[in-house]
Amino acid sequence: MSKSISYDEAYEKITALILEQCDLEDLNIEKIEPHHILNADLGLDSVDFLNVIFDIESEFGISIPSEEWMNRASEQALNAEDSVFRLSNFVESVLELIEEEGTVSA
Amino acid sequence: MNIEYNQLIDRIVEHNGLDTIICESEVPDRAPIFEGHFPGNPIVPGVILIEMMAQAGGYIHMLSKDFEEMAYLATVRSAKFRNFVTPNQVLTIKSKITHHGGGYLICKAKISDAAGGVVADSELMLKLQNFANEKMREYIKNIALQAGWNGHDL
Repeated sequence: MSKSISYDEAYEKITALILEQCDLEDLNIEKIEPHHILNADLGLDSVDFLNVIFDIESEFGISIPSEEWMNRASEQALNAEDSVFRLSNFVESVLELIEEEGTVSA
Repeated sequence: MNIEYNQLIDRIVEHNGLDTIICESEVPDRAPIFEGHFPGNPIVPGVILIEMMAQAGGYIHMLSKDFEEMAYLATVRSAKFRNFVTPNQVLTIKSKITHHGGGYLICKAKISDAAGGVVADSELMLKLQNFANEKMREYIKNIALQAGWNGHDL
């Protein structure tokens, strides 16, 4: 049964999972921001990205079309406003999937 | 188990053709690695146990897909070593794919001793990629055949 989750809750959980894959000190970043690009700003390579994807799938009980997202991102400009790799867009996309199929634990 | 040749799975006992596998392996009585790890106290290094679990996870994919792709260890997401593994022990390795997508898979694996006690467990990410060449593919496939794979799903 699907359960709604707010953008802020999803953002918090997703950034925590991203933090497991990147080192802000190495990146010289103080805090993850919604405008950050997953690969360009947060240094996630394809292995890191897939680790984040699999963690999100487990966390929210959803299935992410990771290949499609990666292909779409590779066709977009690195810093495009609508880039699927921009954190705010990434969280929105995950939220859409949660609303469609997710089983978020209370 | 032939540590020098990185052949860490002796027998494929069970494979459901989809997402799980059970394998066995016997730690040799003697191996050069035990001369240094450690003199008078031979213990299988933890990295060997991780590789063993990675090979079991790789077999799940390769056996299901008739060795279309090789599985390379990409991430050790977690690993725990709960007991020492020593010469002549017979180990059971169980692995299950929990995620699959984007050219990668994640598997959870456990190694148990003959008494059923868990000696190591891990969660690994494997990268799926075409074999570099046919020679490599045949080599890996032959190792699986020697381990009891009959050319079809068990």
